[in-house]
Amino acid sequence: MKVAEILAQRQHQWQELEELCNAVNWRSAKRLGVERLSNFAALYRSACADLALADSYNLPPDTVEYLHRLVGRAHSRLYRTRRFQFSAWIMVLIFDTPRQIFLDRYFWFMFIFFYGTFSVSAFLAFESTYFPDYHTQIVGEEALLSLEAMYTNPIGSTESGIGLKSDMAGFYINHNTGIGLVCFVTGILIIPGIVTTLFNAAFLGAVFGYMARPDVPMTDNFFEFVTAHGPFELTAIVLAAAGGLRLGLSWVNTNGLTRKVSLQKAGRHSIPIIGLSILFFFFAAIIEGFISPSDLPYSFKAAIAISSALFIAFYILVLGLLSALGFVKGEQYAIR
Amino acid sequence: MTQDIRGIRDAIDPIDGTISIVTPENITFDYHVAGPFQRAFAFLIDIGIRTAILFGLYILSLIIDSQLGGIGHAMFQVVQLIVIWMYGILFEIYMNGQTPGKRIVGLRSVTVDGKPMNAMQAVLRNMLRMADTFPLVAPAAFGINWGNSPVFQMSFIPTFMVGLLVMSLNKRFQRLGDLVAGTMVIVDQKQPTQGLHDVRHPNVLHIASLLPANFKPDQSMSQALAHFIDQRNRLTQQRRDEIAQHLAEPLCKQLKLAPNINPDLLLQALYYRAFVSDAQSEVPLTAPLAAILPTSPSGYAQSPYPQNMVQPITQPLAPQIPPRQAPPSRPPIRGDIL
Repeated sequence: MKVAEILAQRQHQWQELEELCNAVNWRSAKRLGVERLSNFAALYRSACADLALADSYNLPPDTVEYLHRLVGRAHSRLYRTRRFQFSAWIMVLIFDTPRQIFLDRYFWFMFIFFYGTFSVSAFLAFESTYFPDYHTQIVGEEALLSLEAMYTNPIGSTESGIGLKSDMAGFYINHNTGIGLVCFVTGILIIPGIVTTLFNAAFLGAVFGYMARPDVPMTDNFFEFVTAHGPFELTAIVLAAAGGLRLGLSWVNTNGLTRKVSLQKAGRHSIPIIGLSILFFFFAAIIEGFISPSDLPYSFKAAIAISSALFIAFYILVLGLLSALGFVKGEQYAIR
Repeated sequence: MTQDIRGIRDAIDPIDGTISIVTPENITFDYHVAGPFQRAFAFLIDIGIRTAILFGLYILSLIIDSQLGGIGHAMFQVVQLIVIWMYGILFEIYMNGQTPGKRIVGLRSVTVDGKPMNAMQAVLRNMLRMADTFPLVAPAAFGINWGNSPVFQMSFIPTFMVGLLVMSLNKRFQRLGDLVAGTMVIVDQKQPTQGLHDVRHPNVLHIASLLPANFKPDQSMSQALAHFIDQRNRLTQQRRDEIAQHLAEPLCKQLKLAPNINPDLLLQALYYRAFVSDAQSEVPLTAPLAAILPTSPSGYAQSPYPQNMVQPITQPLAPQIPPRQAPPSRPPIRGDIL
């Protein structure tokens, strides 16, 4: 049989498959109807067969190339990405993630590193007799001035309230989430990750320490704003940095795997911790957007801060310890 | 993510950037891996769309603000976060590995073994995009000054050097996020040409009828012929003859044809014999051929040298020089030095 005859036979089927590919791409597959969809599979299989037999048919090269493209297009439409499996993700979040974080040395290292730097920096900025210039050296003159300007007006006061709310909340939500994500993704390059985390801990510590000084007038406004969302946000930064550190060290210390495989393995392992970090950032963003800048009483904001800190402690320490000791049987849920 | 077991890893052809995939139907086909510049184009489109969405949401938040006071802006901040970080993730999950930009350009992210991505891979490769943007350069380095607002003080211009470097170091053009997630970006476009070229010129058919009835080009020769016919429309007649001669000369001897047959015509006749018809008649088979050739990009009639092709076959091979056309006279342009 000559190629011309084979092409004459097959070409209209290929064109039909091509049309179906376009239709599936732009419209919902369900709307095509059962007949055309089942036809899709049949057409795809026959195009596969044509490609497999291309050599024995002796098809010319650009027809073979065409078939490769056609089969590739049909393949990527037939086999589709799975949707989020919410139940599996939630099970992982309840059972697997606490244990994993509880047993994660990168997390504990970053926890101590971040909060240690934060505390030391806060102390240095607070101590005005021995280190009077520490806060300006870390935070910078201009940033400090703009911070002071932001917190000059009371939170939630009516006339300047809207501007204050929107500027501060908006800036800090993006800025702090950005910090966390930068800590994570720079962690893959290790040194930038450590430096970013160190700098952010020192920066935030210096701001907190300086604002806590008794001679600084905007102390009340500052703490009224940051208290409520603080625990979630700072912990989220620690989690993100820990995930990043795991990724970064995985391609240095490979445990006998190739660097790429080791990196991919670490990527899989750091997914729950990153997911939790994103969740915490999201909680923090909601608190920060709606509660922190509002004129609710400080005691309410403090209650939110305390309960969220307790929640985090319960989640990581209690749930983590229980499931690490085997009291809570977490099955290995596969996240897809 | 799963390490492929079929030895696909090393099957990539470094020259034209294709990668072989074995499907569950147990056939192998090739994907073209998308290069950095196709991907950059898709990314720019995505940035544009994302910015448009954010702008629309911002307008909406202003409207809500004016009605309810204050709450719109807070909502915008939360929603903005979702849009920025979830844009790539959600689109790639719900549009089967494509974002709007990728769909417009015709790209798709799949796993390294050609399967669709799962949600986790989409999350990973999109979250890690930021690592690929490094190093970030302060706008001041380019002499841009946006004032002293802290928002601008802390904004940086991504250079994507890490991504480019990592892409250049592996065969699938994977950036860092792709490497961690085990994904790659492939070209998902139509191949415009297919089918056979129309070579049914009377002289070609005549030569085809001179070929021995039992002669059939073998597979490697037919592939070479097909390559030649694909390319010949881009060549001048002398070049065609020169290239064709390498195959035509020994064939003339072997098939005992007249040695002065135009080599280009001979190869077309062989192509006709290999792919179109065994028939010995000079009558062209119009009906079935016409049906299969609508996409043929290069009908014989459109050849830039139609007149030179028609020449007596048995005449001595004369050097063929296409009639040189006088350069079209153009109207003098002001300022031209003539």
